[in-house]
Amino acid sequence: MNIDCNIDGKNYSFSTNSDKPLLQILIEDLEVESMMSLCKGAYCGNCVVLMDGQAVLSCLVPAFKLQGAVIQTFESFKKTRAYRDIDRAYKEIGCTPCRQCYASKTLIIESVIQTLERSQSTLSNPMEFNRVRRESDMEGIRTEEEKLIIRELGLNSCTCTQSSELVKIVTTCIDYRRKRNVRRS
Amino acid sequence: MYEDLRSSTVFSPESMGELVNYKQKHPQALFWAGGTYLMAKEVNYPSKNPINIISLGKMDELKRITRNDTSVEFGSMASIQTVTAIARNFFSKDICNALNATSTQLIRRMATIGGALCTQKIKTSFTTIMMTLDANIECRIVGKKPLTKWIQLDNMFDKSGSLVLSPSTLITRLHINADKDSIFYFKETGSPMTQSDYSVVFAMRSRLLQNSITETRACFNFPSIGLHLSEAVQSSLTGVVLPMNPVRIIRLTEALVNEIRMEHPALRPIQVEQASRMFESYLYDLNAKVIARS
Ligand SMILES: Cc1cc2nc3c(=O)[nH]c(=O)nc-3n(C[C@H](O)[C@H](O)[C@H](O)COP(=O)(O)OP(=O)(O)OC[C@H]3O[C@@H](n4cnc5c(N)ncnc54)[C@H](O)[C@@H]3O)c2cc1C
Ligand code: FES
Ligand code: FES
Repeated sequence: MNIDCNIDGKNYSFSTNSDKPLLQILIEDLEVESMMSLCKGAYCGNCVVLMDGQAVLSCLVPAFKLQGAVIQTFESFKKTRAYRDIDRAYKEIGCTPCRQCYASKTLIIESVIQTLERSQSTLSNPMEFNRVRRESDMEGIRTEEEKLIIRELGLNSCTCTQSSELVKIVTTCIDYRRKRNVRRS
Repeated sequence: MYEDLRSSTVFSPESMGELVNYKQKHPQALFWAGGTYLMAKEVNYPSKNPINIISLGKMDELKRITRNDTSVEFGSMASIQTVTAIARNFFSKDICNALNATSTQLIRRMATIGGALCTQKIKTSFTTIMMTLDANIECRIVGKKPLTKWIQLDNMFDKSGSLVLSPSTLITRLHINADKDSIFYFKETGSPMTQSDYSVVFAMRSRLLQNSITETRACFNFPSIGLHLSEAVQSSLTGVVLPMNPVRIIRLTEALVNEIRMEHPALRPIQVEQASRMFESYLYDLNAKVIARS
């Protein structure tokens, strides 16, 4: 079937099999560097891309769903300010995902940050967040935000980063963006 | 690569009339909702025998949500994320937390109600929760003589907990009554999708009148084997006054284990063990809630 879509800012028009997974199109037809390989149902979580702004596992998206879609792979995401925030947080926390899962974990982190910002969670208010966090620490439980971060990033099966580090990366990044927004306004 | 292979024909109806017409001409065509199960488990690319696909993505009438104070009705193409997003208007915090624990947001945004209820080789945790909420579904039989009917969700599964839905049946709506008062418990070990041979999902809901249980629904999900809605537990718990004596808890748990073993002989011992612990801890939890109230 014929598909017209936009991938990493370029318009494509190509003919492909209707049930071919997006991941395979990216690897075989477009040779996108950050896409590794198809795990064939092992749920590695290493194939994340943004489709119309939302994170998806590209191995679960058949070609026929691509008509008119806007796809952003890590290749174009890494040129954005949003990526630079995450990269800075990796460095500040001293923990960077391995080469295999770097692209997908980074895109999941971006998607989690957007969810938390949209939900106006306590994370957007550092004082409130620290209070909730202190209380949870005392009780030895995690906050709802921490649980969400860990659950979402758990979709990527790679264990190179610990959940506590992932929580710190996300919260640090939200803090950068909050401070930048305060400066702007 | 592989482009010379025959590819699936995809039909994307925009109305029920178009869908029925196509399905009557192509009875083998497969309903395609979010594709998260089909792409992961059923459709192997490249396939030697590509199937015809009826993509439900453009069926706006399957995405409608109607609600009033006492109930909510979702079109079957509403995503699981949509259900979780509006759940707090209808359900208690524990039910909302259980819905939020169904996989991750990324998957919930892709997966739909209809798809979650109709997975073939595994049963989802979403279905387990809906079973305890006593949900009803509207089915449309898209065969030669089209027919629409509402059935209790339980009736989609046979005694062994397997899905009994003909390929010509389309789920169109899910109806759930609001529930902010009953006591709800949800526990899972392992992911029903990625560790389906070992995972156990358990959801249970009880209504209390003062300290006595007036109604209860308990559903176990052994994802690759089937669902288990325990009639025995449900009837033996009704009328029980809390807190329950520990000896009674042990007896009830033993009865449950025997029932599960008998109905699902293929279960792994670890799954039986997990199920019994989950059930037991629910009963202690009920006790604790009543003691805390008094
Ligand atoms: C990595 C991963 C982890 C997951 N973890 C969980 C979890 O923990 N808990 C959970 O609940 N779910 C989980 N899921 C989702 C679940 O396993 C299914 O994949 C999902 O619910 C299927 O929904 P879908 O809309 O994508 O269905 P599809 O893949 O499109 O379809 C599934 C089946 O339903 C049929 N179907 C679809 N719609 C209809 C309809 N309206 N009427 C009749 N038949 C229909 C299809 O023909 C197909 O047989 C997970 C999925 C993935 C990929
Ligand atoms: S390739 Fe492994 S989950 Fe998509
Ligand atoms: S993919 Fe990250 S360490 Fe294996």
